[in-house]
Amino acid sequence: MFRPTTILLIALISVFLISCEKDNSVGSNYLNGVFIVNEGAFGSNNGSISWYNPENKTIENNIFKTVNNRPLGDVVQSFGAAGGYGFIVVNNSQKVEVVNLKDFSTKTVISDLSYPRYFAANESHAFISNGNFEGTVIVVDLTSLEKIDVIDVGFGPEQMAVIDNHLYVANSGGWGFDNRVSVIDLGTLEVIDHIEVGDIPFALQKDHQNNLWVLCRGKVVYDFVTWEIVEETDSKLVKINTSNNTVSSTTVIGSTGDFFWPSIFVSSGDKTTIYFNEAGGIYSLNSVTGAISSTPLLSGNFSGMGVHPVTDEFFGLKTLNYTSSGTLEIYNPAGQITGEFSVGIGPNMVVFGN
Amino acid sequence: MNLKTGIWLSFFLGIISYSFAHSHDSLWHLTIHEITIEHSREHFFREDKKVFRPDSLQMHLYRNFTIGELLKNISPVYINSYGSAGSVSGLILRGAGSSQSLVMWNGFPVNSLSLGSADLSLIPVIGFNDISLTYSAAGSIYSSGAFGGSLDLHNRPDWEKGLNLIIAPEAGSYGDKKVSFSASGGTRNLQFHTTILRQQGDYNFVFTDTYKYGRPLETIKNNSLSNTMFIQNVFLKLPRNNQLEAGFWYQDKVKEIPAIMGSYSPGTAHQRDSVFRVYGKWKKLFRNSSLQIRSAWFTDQMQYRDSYSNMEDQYLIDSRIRNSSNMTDGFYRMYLGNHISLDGGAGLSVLSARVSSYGGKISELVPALFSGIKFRNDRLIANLSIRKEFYHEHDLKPLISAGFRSEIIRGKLAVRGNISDQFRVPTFNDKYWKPGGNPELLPERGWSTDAGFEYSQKLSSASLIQWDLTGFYGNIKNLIQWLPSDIGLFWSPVNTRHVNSRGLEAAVKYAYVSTLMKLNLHASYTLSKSQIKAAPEPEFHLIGKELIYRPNHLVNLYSNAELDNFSFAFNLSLTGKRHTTEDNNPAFAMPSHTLLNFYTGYNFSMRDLSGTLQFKVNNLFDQQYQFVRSYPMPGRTYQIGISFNYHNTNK
Repeated sequence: MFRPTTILLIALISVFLISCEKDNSVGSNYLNGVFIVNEGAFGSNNGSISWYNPENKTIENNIFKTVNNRPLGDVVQSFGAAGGYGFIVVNNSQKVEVVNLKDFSTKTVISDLSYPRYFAANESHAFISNGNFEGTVIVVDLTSLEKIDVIDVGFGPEQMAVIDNHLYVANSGGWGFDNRVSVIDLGTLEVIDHIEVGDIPFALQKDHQNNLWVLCRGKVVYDFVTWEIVEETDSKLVKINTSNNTVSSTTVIGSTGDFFWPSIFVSSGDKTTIYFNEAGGIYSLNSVTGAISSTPLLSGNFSGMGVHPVTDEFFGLKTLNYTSSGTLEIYNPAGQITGEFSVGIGPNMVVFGN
Repeated sequence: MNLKTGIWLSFFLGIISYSFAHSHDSLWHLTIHEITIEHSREHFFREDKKVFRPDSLQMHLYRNFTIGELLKNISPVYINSYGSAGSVSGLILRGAGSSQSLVMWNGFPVNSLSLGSADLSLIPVIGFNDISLTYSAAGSIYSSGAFGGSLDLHNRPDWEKGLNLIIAPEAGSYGDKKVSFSASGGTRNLQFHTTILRQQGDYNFVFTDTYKYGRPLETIKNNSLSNTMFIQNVFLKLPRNNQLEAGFWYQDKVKEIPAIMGSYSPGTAHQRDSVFRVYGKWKKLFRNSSLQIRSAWFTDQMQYRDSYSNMEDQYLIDSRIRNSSNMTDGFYRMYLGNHISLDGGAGLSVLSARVSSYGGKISELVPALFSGIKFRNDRLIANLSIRKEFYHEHDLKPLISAGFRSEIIRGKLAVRGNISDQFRVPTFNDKYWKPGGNPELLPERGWSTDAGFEYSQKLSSASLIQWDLTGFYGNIKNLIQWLPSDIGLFWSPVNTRHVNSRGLEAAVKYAYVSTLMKLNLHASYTLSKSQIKAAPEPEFHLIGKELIYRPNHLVNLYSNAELDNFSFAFNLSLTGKRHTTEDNNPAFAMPSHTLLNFYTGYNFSMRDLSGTLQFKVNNLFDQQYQFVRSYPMPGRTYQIGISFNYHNTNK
């Protein structure tokens, strides 16, 4: 028979032991939050991942180091999730850190990469674009997390998109030149087509009708003596009909000589609106009509952007410099700022969890 | 010529005319002449400043090393080193960065016109027989870029010394091989000084890669170094109190550049630095005045290459910088009575660079006028100096400096204080780099002051203790900073912030000499804080933050002892925590580290031949540390060497 004091003592000890366990209460919610990719300064190994908790509207910075007790690496390019894992592409460390999404602890590291850039996945495989000249797509088995294939694509592969049983790869040219989107059959893991789009295709978005939109930055060639532009082609939004892999429309954005290289290309939750940046701010594209907003929806110079798939809030990222923290600004769909948070150095990408 | 320039010219010409007109009014001691003519103008006007000077044993211990390696081991300054032997190293002093401190060779700056900084890994200790560090050097004496101070490298003749030859081979861990040769000597009217250094090694040391999963032990790759240096000086005394001096410095260094920590690919880059520097001086002593004219032509080339993957002959990056500078100045000094000297002079620098990213060859012409007055008696030294430089783009206000040193208790207690204007003109990269270079940049401006005392006490007939305590303050306005442009395609420099730095420097030296042994103990501590004091609107949150790579605490202990034929030395240095991001994010701060080096040597001699067999252990605690984040430094390393010294006292 336990006396009340004994029960109280056991209860106190239990509370103490529970409180002494590693606090995974935040980690268990990583799946449901918003990940901010902070690339850091080149050569400084200070890239990081910040995590925004939408429930209590708080930010937790540098979660990889907090959990794993080591820095993430140099130039964190992108982040994606598949199979319960997070894949952090660390460009200048030539690796992909694979973490358990629940607690962000390292599961494994994928190395032997020359210049990893972006991540995509279907149910069974993860894909990593790699290379600054002749490019490849590295295929990773999502069960074993082992590399199982390397597929040659174009020059400087960047963002990828999975539509039906095809993987589309934007070949930006890297440190050379390209103007094609490669199409890979996910059944055979072979390239079945190269679609010519505009110059320097960089980013891809799928719309609600399974069309693929391609952001082509345009080619800019400088005279390396005078640094004057000797050749420049238009930035374009190119629409690909994925049922027959042909270009169905091309829209020129920006203007020649504006020195602007668009880098943001994200879509709304319902995939009917695509957002991109041009000189002056963030513009929208109606994926049905192809109409582009005449004025920026959000003005300012953003280094990254995401649109919440449920609330349609804008998550805008700003980089002050590459030697101090950047900023996450949250705007409601009307464009009014509702929150501002300090994140890591050089934020460039927003990834929404479940 | 505008009115202001005309007034300045009149002022300086007036001073010089006055000096000539009164040249026979009084007699300045001949001994002062002898001392004065051996000193550069920079040293003549720095007696109000704090000066650090390594002792002869320290110079001997580090003779085959670079100035960067010497200073980071024996002095309380921070050396920003990007890795092991041969890696780029810069001097961080009193809150000023490596481009805000000067390195001078026999009175001429060797800082890169393109980068502003001087790479200390390119400067071997053996090349010079007088090395000193002047803290917060005066802009009116040293010109541009002396906020932190000036590392002064001199080659001095010893007119009484006979032929002296030293050869010193040395080998160490990770393939380190060095051999140096120096020769000096001559007659009472002709002296020469020759030094040659050859160094090579793979330096493939092992380190713990704390950035990688599992913290594996890694062997650093692509880290080899090949370095050849040759310095020659000639000194000539001519009739009628004329003296000539000339020298050249050739160096060729090829350094592979390893990948940073955490990288899964070895580095593929290498950098070649070649320097050729030549100078000449003519000095003339009159009865109570002196005239000096000096000229130098310096050229340095840097080639950075990074190959693509394993294609060794195809370079993804092939960047070349070639700078040259031609500097000439002259001054006339007049000794008025027994206590006052007055000088005035003019200088002209022709600076040019040929860099592909500048779009061709760039040249600039910088005339300067300067003057100084110094009072000296046996209790007080006081000086006032002024300098005006003429730039095409902007009107730089005259630089003024003043200071004093006074012996309150003769031979025991002295106090000193000074205040100096300082500035730094934008580098060629700041102004001309395409894209992004900003020709509209203003020079950085600021001023510094320090005050301190020196106290010496003879504890016994065999021992002496010396104390030095200095407080300093300095600020820099219009700090030049490269920021991303609005469109994000390139970066561009702007004048944005104001920063300041303040602190205390304490040092104590103890010396004991007896027939049995010699003992020296040096201890120094620097407490400093360098902060951003003003910044434009988007950077308001950075105001009050500390500057990166400026440790608050630096401690250095050094001791050497000589007992019979044996000598021992150790130095312990503690470097405090450093921030690496401007918002002082603790996640990226570097922890403090402590290094201990140990040395022992056996001295032998036989008639005119003497030598030392020496053994060194560096980083005895086998600390894993970095000076610049992610650039690993070696753990414990060993070195063994022998030096043979032939000295003929018969002249």
